[in-house]
Amino acid sequence: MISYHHHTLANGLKILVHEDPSSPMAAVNLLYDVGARDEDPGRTGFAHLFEHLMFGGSAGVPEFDTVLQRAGGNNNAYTTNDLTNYYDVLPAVNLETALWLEADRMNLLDFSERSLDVQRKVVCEEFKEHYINQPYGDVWHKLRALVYTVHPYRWPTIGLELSHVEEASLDDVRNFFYRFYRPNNAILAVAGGVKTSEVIELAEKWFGQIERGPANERKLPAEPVQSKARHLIVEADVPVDMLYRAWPMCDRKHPDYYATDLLSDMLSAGESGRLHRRLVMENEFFSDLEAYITASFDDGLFVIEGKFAEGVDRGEAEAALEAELELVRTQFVSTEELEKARNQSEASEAFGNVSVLGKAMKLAYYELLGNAALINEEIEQYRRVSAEDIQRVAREVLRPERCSTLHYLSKQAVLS
Amino acid sequence: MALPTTIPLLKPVTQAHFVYPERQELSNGIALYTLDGAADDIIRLELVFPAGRRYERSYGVSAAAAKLMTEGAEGYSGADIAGTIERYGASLKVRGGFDYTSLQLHGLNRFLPQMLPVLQGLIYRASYPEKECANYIRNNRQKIRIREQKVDYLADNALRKVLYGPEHPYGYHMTGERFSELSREQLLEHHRRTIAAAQPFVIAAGRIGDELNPFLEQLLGQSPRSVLQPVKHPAAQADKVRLMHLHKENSVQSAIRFAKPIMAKNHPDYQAFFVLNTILGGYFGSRLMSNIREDKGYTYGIYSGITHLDEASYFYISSEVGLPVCQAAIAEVYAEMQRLREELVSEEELELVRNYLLGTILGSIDGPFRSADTVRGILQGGLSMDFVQELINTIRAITPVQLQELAQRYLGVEDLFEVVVGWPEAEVSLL
Repeated sequence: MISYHHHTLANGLKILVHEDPSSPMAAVNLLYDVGARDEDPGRTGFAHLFEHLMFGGSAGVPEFDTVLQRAGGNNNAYTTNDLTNYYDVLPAVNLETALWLEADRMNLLDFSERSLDVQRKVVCEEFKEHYINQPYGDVWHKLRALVYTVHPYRWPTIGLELSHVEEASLDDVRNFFYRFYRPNNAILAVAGGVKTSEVIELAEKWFGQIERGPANERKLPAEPVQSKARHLIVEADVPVDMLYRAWPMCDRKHPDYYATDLLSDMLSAGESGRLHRRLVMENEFFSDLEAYITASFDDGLFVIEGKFAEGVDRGEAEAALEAELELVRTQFVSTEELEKARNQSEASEAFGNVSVLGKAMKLAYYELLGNAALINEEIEQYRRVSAEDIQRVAREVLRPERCSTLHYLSKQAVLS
Repeated sequence: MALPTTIPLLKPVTQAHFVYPERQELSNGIALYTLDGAADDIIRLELVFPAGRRYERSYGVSAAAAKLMTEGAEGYSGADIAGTIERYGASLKVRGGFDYTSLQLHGLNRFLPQMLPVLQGLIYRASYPEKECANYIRNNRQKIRIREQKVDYLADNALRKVLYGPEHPYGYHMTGERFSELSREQLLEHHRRTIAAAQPFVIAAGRIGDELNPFLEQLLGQSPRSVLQPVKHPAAQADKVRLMHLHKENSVQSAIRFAKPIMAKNHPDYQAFFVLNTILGGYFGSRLMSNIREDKGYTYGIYSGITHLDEASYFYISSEVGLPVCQAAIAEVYAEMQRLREELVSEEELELVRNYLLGTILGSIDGPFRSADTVRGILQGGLSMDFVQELINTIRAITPVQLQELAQRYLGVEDLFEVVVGWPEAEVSLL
């Protein structure tokens, strides 16, 4: 049971505090409710580029990292399609330094041409390192574009193309900042060897004067229901044939989220998941095969990803996969598989609650989902899922007509 | 809007209470280190065996044996083993390294007895089924073809080869042919000699209850275990050629690596060198990062570090950079090393690094799980548990003059290897 205190400042900044007196450290997690889904289709990759710029200096602090490191801390950040998250971990005695630093860059970023120029280059190198100079590096560009036709999930956080990042201007940076990086669009969670009263007092001191921004009302285009299976074949200079299948599924807040998550676990979690056992180990159709979900805030994806074993007949392999999917649609999973899923979620929650950073991150994330109390309630949600629920979502989600299939094939193999 | 103008005063880290692990011995002499303290019924057990590459008799055997250990044991199929462990909310990871093979079990205390038979089975009677071995070989032949397209993988391989020699356990790399030559008999032999018979050490962290000792006695304490010596192999032999530049068709980035042999963790200079490495490239605010990423935008990241291995450690610098700026980035790396040899580090920068490191150490001993990782490093380095406090003392006391002397002694370029995969020009140059 994680105890926490909830507070909101007059400017709308939400604050969550968890006291862990056993730790000498403090974790400060500041989450902004903005992600790649909020980007202009002609300026994709911007939320992530902006995350880089947040380290390029603010009105009162030229070098964020230097000051934090001097306080004995370290930090990082990440951007997803849904949110942007910044976190600092430092000795609890220096908590105020982290709050000052975060408040200063929320108050006013130093909009400089130089910082933008350098970070554009850094992000372009990141783009090349992970998405171009890697076999299969662009697979999520292709897959997202196949499944989503109108929703902004159709592009990945790095952006649709290098040129979008290269063309970002200082005006884009300013507009983005004043629209999204405001206290009423953020959640501050602090966990560790701290006192609640002290955190609230210091947060009031440093964040209290920052002006609120416009309400962030999202009007994202809803993805139309898919009625026909889609298929894309990519041939490239890659060593091995790969298969991706994706089906639309519910969003993170939907009651069926938990059953769908467990369905993917039944198929694929650990070494005892069905797909690995039957189609990789027992019948060697694939060298790797897994199922997972994207857990996104708007309608997400249920994905199956596999590498075909060398020399295998792809048609036979896919028929065997289809037979496994038919099994979960038509038969209940066993009591043992359900028990496994429950014990696994208990252990995973307990291990996830060990570090102060883990707890601060979870509190902010659940608050963004609408309810910080989920940090203590999710395990019960998983426990309530029945074999009937899993079969029901398998039928609902894994429909052949809603499937998008991507074959990412090796040119060498195609030629030979 | 103006924020308060008085910035917070920094408070130094004055207390870093490393809770020493409790040391016990099982009845056959195996050392057990426990770190108690967790809110829930969780435990992390780590069994560290001398069973890595240094103890293998053929290429790739230790890694294959580690990977396939859980695929079968007398009386249990791989499905039984995975099914039992996962059914009780646990997970088991076996990692094969250069020196050690470690079994790490995360689980719930109350289910330890239920998992005992399966764990005993795989430690004493792992069966390495023929079919799973063949599967492993085939999949790895495929995986290696993917890896061989990546400049970072090729550069890391080349680096270890020039540092240790192509036949040394730390220096060789796996090829499709070497995977094909693996056999079930080799894996069984390796397992019988190492995991089933050699003396490991054990670290337990989490909620330590009364059930732990009887469990470990039954798992490991029943029969005598010996201290294992590495298999005889060629001595580490660094290459004579200092530069290796390899072109790669269609690459948009170059993987650049620099390395040289360095002192062991128990050497009197090690702790000070650790501080020097931090300044150069050991943290986000390091000189390499500030210059090559934050100032010039040549790379997404550049780091330096020290890899400790039982027989010989090495210091390295590693980055992936854009092809057109490859040579410019290399020149900056040499310039930063030269600066450390020729100029004193400012008190201001040193104070920053001191505080950063003390905060990092505080984090590395925060709670039983982080502490367990620290303890493992101490034990593998053959150090005393006082190491943490000694490191704190060194960090507090070190001076700019000492750092410069150290840079002159250890950051010279005479014995520094430079390896680039994805060299901008087409011809391979071996200077």
